[in-house]
Amino acid sequence: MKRFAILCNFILLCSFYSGLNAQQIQSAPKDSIPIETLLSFVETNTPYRIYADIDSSFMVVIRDNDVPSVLLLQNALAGSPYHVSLYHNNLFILKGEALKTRLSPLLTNRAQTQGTMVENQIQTERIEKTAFANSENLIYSVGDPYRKDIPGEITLKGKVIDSKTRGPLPGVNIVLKEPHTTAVTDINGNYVIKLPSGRIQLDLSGFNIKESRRQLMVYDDETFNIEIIEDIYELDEVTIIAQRTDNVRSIQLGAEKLQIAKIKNIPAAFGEVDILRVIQSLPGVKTVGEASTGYNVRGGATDQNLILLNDGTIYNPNHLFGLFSAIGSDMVKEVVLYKSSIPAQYGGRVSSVLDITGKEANKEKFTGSAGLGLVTSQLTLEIPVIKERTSVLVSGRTTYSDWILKQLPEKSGYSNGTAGFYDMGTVISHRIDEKNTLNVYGYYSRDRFEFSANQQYAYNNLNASAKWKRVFNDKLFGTFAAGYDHYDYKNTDTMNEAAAYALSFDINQLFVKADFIYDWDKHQLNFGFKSMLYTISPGNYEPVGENSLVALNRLQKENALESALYIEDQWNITPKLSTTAGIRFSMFNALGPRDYYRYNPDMLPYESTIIDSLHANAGQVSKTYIGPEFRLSARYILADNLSAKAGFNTMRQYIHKLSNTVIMSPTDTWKLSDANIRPQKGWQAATGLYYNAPKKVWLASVEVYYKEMNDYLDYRSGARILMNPHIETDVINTEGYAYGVELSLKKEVGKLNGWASYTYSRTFLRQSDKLITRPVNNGDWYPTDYDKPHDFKLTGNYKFTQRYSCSVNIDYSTGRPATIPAGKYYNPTLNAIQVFYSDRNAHRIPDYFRTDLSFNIEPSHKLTLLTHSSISFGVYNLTGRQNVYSIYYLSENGKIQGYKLSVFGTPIPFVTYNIKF
Amino acid sequence: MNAKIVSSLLILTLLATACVSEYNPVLPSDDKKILFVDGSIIENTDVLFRISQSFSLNEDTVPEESFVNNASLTIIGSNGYKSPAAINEGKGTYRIPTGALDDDVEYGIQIEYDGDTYQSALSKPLHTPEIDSISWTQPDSIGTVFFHVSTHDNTGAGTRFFMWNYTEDWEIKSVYPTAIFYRAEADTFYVDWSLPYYYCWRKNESGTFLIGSTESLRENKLVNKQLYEQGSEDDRFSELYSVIVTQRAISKDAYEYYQSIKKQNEDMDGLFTPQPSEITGNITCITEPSKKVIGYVETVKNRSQKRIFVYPEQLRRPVVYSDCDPLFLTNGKLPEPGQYAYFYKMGWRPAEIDSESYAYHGIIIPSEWALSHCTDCRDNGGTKNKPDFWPNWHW
Repeated sequence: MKRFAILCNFILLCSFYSGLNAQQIQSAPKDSIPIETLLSFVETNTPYRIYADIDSSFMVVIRDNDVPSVLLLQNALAGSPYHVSLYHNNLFILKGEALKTRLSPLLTNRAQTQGTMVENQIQTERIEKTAFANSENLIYSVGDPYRKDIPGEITLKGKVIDSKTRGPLPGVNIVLKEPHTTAVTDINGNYVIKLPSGRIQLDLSGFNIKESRRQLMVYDDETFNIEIIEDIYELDEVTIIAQRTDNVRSIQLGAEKLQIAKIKNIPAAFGEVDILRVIQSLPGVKTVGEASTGYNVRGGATDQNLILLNDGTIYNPNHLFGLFSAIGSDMVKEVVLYKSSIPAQYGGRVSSVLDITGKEANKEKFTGSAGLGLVTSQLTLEIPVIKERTSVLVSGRTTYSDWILKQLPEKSGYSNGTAGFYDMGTVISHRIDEKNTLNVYGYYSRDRFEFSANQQYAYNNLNASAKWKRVFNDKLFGTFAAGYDHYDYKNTDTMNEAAAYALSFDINQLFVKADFIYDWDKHQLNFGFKSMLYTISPGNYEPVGENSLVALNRLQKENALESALYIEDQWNITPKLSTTAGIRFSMFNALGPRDYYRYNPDMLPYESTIIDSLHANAGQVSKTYIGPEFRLSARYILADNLSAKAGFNTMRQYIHKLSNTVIMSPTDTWKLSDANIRPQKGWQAATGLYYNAPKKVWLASVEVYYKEMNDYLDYRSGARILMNPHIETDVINTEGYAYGVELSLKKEVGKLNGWASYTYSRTFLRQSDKLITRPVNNGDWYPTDYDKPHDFKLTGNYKFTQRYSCSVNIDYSTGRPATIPAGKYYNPTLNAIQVFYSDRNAHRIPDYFRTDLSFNIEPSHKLTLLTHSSISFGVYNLTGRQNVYSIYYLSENGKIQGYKLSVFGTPIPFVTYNIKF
Repeated sequence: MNAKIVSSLLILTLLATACVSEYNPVLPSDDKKILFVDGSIIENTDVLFRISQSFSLNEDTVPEESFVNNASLTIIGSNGYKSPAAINEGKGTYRIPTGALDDDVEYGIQIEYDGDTYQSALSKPLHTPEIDSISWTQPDSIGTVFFHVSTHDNTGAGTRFFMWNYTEDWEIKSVYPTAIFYRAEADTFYVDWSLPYYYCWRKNESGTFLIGSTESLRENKLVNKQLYEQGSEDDRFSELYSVIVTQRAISKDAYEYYQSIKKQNEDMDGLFTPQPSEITGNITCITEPSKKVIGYVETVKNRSQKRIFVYPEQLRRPVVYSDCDPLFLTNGKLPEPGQYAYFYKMGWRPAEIDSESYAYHGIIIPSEWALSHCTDCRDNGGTKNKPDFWPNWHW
């Protein structure tokens, strides 16, 4: 109906019917000819009827060998105030702009549904260098169309920005189909692409945008800035794919990029969209159990993952014993997990890097969102301060979680507790000018829980950083950042007044970094440095209350400087072959003031093998570790939709988590390398095949990896981890290896979308140090706690209509290894049977299987509404399977009884209500 | 409206989500038997050492063959001292009298068994400080009772690690003082005015390692360190309760050993449980070092003990309901033949002290009956073994 009405108006405006169709012109006119002549020529030689409204005749330029076509007309009228529109077999030539904007979306939609590229409406628009091209349907004229010698090849460069936030969009693919040419925007949204002159269409795709196109008439080397319009239909975001850059064409292996807006509909425990839980649904990422957001990447330990939030390191990403991740999803724009090819700009952990980028607020108008869930509530506000220049995002989340604790088993010791947490984040973004932007980030999270009035635990994360991005020139971009990261905990126990104590730990980290990107022909150079100054208080044990006899004990602080210098070259050798070669030199200086011991080098460190006591003064370096890390990868395109990649990485890690539990626990502390604790080292080699089905309906990949780790810290029997002034006497260096194959299949478009992956992987550790008299499992290889060979995960979404959709999660894995008693003996003193343990991880707990289901309803998505709300509800662990978290044995009433503990042993229904304004 | 949805679902969610259930898979049994040695060397005491072998996880009770009775156990000293071999008393128990111990000599034990020689690490005798007090508190009305120990050692020479065990004795009584008893084999009654099953005594020994440390404290002093707790409704506190706590100094190494054993047997049920690992103690097989032995043998000069009594009126106890309603059988009439035998078989007993009024031609006819455990304290786990030290006069 609506379309018809517009059409009527349209025809009424056509006041002039050109009678020129009677003239017979057989050959194409040359060079400058009157417009009427051209119209006549086209009408005669095509099936089109032409309706033109031309004020006064003018001359148009056409090129040689042009066949009479709509394109010919459109080319000829480029730069003139006239527009060419096509409706069925009618061509309308009109002046002015009133029609095009109203007509275009409708016609465009029709064109897309038909899958053809009909030039429904053809017009060109000259675009200023500083303006941004934002229409799919306009044809932008770039360069001087009247220039005499139009070059055959043209270099187009420019910037791609988000129309809403006005912020640059990195990682946008710009593709010319024929001849196939691509460019990707850098972190500042800039791109450079070489194109043939004339009429072209650039297809734009990427993580943050709806796929779209820009049509150009290119005449000259020029700047062409692009603005990408945000998709206004909220429900289009109900695709839950972890969209990646074109996996076939990118050079990286094992990189997973997630856009938070796209994962909001994945069912989650308690209905919370949880970044770390989603990470755990990716191939190659495992976890020991549901009570943990600590994860293991390709056989690495939980402390071998670097978690960065806006460049700041997050040391404890958990809320509530690991049931939630501490970073609210509403303040996050995107998350990238590097599990194999880790770019040289990152370092400091052996296994993986999780780079979380905060969302920048809308700079145009005030918006916000609020969510109400069973466990938490959150509020996010996006406030423009100076239009198009400065905006502030604030996001906060808090909980009412005590009731969950009541659900935990009585024996876990938590059921009588109370707990609370909150977290908040802010992003201030300011565009100084065209070339400079400044962002300031802040993040704080706090947890507290009480097992009883006498036992209290609390921990805090605090991060603050500033980042300045600068475009030096067309080829050189720089990012400079500085910040402060902090984590602390304090546990208080006042059960016994005379022994009441508080135990605390904190880690502080100051960092500065600079990263540069330099474009140089077929090369893209990334280089920069990072320097971090650590200060750790490994433990303070203090009396609480007047009657406490506890002696104040402060372990001496640890200080260290970690610095790294890197350079990496991405070289597109041929269109098919690209390589990345990087080297990162990292240096670690353990700094004084500190007293430390030297041990007999022929024996394991024990208090009895100390041979010397040494002292380093303030600022003095007590130990330096230095070494290169190599980051190599290559991609070769085998066929249009098929590529092969290979990579090799080495990594070094100078900070170690001290914990002898299998998951992240509230008393974990971190230890820096020093004269007696060597850095961890690891390398990984990986290769893979990547295939995209035509039109990217299916994306398939297979990756194989092998990795080794050295000097990973394990604990001696009965190790004392807290308040230990010389931890080296309680740890043992372990070596490990891991291998696996990851198969992944994705469907990114259509009513049914999602991903499925299957992983077969193994990971083993060994205590091979000759000095160990009685190594674990006699020095043989033993599986790690998270060695789960078979792993199948499926995350799918089905859209019934734009408003209703349904998501499902399926997770199956082999049960994790567990250490079970080797036998029993009778203890006559206690009149009880007791157990003893021998080989580590010789048994396995039963397999894990879980299905979650959720429904998402958007009550209305009318654009005119002030607020948009949505409801998600569903069930976590639909089948109610009592997945075993751990098995254990207790000596009770003189007998041994085995138990299995399930964390979420029943179906858990959830509902969340979200509102956007 | 949305708040309503949330709250109603909240209620739905208040189903237990987590659970613990028993789990007894058939586990591979390790054929390798390892030796377990229990006991310590205490000056001037007839000490007992117990030697046994490990057995399979799939065994529910202690197999008789796990007791090692054919070993030879001696106490050795760093000065070359070697005691005569201990006497085996069966059930893997070895008794050996220790004489005076020299403070400057390190002592240990040596075991010859199955062709191998095992030896504990030698250690000097430790001195145990006196227990300052054993105390108890009941913070909540009719709530749990907590027992504490306090001790200190100012000598500066003593260890900062302690181990305790305790023996509880308590008196219980049946609901009905009863003097009339049925003799089932003769279908007759007899009277015993001593009320033999009215009062009984129960006994319990600590079933877990109780250890403590002053390592992190300014002084070598423990104040009200909690030893154990007990609900006040327990029959321990019904008549008279007594506990004797024995304290023993242990070394730091032994403390860590007991702590590991305790963790691996009692504290494996949390979410943040450390991985269990091999624990051995201080005994090694010197002829074949790869053979594993569990046990920690230490030498102490003395132990210290303290006893306290707790009277029921000192506590606030909940009302404990019993199922002891009496049954009035005969109302002074003669019973039907076989009626007493039938009631006796069904678990009922006479529950009277004075039945003279119901005597009929000299025959006792008890009218009031009650269930056995209401008239006989032995049915509630008691014995007639009244402790020597018990302050009450009755038996």
